[in-house]
Amino acid sequence: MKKNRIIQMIICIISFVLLSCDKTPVGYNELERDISEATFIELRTNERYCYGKYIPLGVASNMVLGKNDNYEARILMQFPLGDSLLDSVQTVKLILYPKVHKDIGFKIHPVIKSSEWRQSFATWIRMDENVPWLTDGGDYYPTVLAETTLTQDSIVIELPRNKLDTLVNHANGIILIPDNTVSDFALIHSREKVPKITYQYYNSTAIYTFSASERCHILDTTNLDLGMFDYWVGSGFTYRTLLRFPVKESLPANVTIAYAELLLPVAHEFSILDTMQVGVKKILDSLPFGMSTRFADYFWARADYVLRTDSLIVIDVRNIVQFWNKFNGTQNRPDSCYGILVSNYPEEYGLSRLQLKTSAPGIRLKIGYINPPKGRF
Amino acid sequence: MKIQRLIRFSLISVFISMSFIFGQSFFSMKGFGEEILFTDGYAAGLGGLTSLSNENPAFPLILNKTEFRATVLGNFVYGQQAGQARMAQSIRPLTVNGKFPLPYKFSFGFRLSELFNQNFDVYSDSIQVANYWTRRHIIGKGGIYGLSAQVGKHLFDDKLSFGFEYTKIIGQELEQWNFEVFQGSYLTSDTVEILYSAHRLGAGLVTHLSYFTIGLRFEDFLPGTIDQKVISHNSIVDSASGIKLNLPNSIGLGLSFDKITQTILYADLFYRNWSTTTLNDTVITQYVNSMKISLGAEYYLKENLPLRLGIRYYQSYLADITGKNITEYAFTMGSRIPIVNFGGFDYSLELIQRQGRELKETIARLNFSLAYEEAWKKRTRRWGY
Repeated sequence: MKKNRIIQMIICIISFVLLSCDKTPVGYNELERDISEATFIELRTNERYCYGKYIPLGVASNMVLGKNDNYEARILMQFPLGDSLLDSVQTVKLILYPKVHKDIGFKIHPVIKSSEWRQSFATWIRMDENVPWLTDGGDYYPTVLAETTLTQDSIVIELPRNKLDTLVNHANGIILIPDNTVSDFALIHSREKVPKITYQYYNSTAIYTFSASERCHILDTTNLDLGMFDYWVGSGFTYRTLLRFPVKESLPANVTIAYAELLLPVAHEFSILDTMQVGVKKILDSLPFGMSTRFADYFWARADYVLRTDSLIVIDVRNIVQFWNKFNGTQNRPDSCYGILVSNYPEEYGLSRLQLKTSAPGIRLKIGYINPPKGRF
Repeated sequence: MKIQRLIRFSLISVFISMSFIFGQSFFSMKGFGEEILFTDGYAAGLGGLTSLSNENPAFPLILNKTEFRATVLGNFVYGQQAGQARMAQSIRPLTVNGKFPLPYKFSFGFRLSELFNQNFDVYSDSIQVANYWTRRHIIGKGGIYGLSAQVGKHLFDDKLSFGFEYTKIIGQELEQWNFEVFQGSYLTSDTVEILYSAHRLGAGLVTHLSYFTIGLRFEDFLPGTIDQKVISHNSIVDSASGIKLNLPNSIGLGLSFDKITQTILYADLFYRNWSTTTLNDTVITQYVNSMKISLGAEYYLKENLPLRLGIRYYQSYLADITGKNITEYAFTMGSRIPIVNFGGFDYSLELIQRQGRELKETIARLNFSLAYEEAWKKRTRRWGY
């Protein structure tokens, strides 16, 4: 009997709590505050622009090696090799840590000594901030230090002992160049597992390791022309699309943005990975779009895109639109409403390219807004 | 038996603590909110006394003990409208007051109490706008409170007492206006912030004549102000400060009759002149004068063990959306558990039916008042040992 009473009480409590969790609109109309319904609008771009650009890829966590009909990717590495007792070195090995296994045949060449490249600035066309390579794609000696194929979790490449002096004293690192027969790409760890060169001396079991001090990959596009009405987003060789919407003209002042999504239909996709992220940055210029259009350093919003599954990128840009509209109608409006830049997040990671569809329904910004509430009095 | 009591007590505690959500009355989002006319378990058990309760600065007629009282209110509302129902609960402190006897039959008292309750929690219907399902959820928290100082004087062998009260009125309400878009589960929140400031003067009188005790109480609100801000994304999009406020006066009359053995009968009338309320010198025409009539009876089963019953009719100053005045009928009951060397514990249960034309609230309200009472005794020093 006692147990039954307790069970009954528990049932009563649970029923009470469940009843209180309901969300029926009881009493809502008693508010009497003149509440207007939400308004949803769909905006088309009033200005669009797209450009491709070489960007330094030294900050990427992985380096890309390979080539296909549209891209070629090479890897540059520099090691702080000791130049003493070189005659006593018995074996020299280069150790790489592939992240994505692909059969990529490649050759290793010494980089010309005078080409002082830096990972923070090196691209296909530049070795340093404002210094171009003598030859696009890196300056290297024709001497082949090694020729091999990338196939395993870690690959150990024995470098010829007789080229050690060239490597240490007459080169500025090495460059890995994919074979012409290659038609794929591999990823090699750059940060988590740093490439190494090891020395082993005669009559010694000790192994001396030199981790790469500078390393990056450089990328170029081949047979890949951006049409006048093409809008692409890409990483590696970056493609950026700039969009401007008539937000200021379309939204009343002081409304609250309840919903804002940037919809980017995808017409064509390519990536060496299965997923990618697309992000947006705030544009800081009111001038007509161009390659020199200034934009914020950081991504304000981003969304995932799954290749071969998704066909539409949906990015929540509510905060951006709210920011744009916050000062709408006031004089002290800051850098606002100048548009957004769409690119891969991060631009240095991997190698990918999406073509945005501009035919109907096309690129659009969907906004839902509500008027601010009214007070009691 | 002890274990069983402990389990029951625990379950009740869980029940009460689970009720810590917002929302008291589905009407309290209107006007100044729900009018709180009585604030302790004793008054509530007798139908809701105002003039013969601690609301009156002259009460009690005989004060020979220091008294402290704290009241907690548990409110369970079941709202019904257009075939739909929703339950809301709350538990909150309602009042703290103290009274001290002073020399020459003077007394001093203080009180911190809720005057208007502005807590609410309502959802709109889910509606479809341009293929998007949306809903609003609006939560209000706060109210208007009074901090009072009371002075009383007891005359004619405690046959008559009168008192005066000054109340500093302060209030704050914070409304959170959430708007939800189901697609993507977007939630947007705006805020309305309201501050109240005013003063109130009060006077009261209690007298005992033959078998009757009569209580009279009058309140006069002095002009106050309201500051209101609408905040959207950390920006004030609308604000009004220094709105001039004139709240209405009120008068109360209470009567008790104690000729019947072990029984006291009560009648209480309260009236507030809401039709004179002004905001920025403009009369708020939609308010009507509020009125409360309470009848109660207290029967002592044993000495210090009363059984209290009461009924109440209350007409609110507010009208519902259709223009019909909101009215309330209540049946109340209560009692007091004496606590040795401490005071007592007054508790009451009110079953209330409050309704406009469409919206109906069935309310179960629990009042728990813990009273500490101690006589100030003169100590006599004994010599010789």
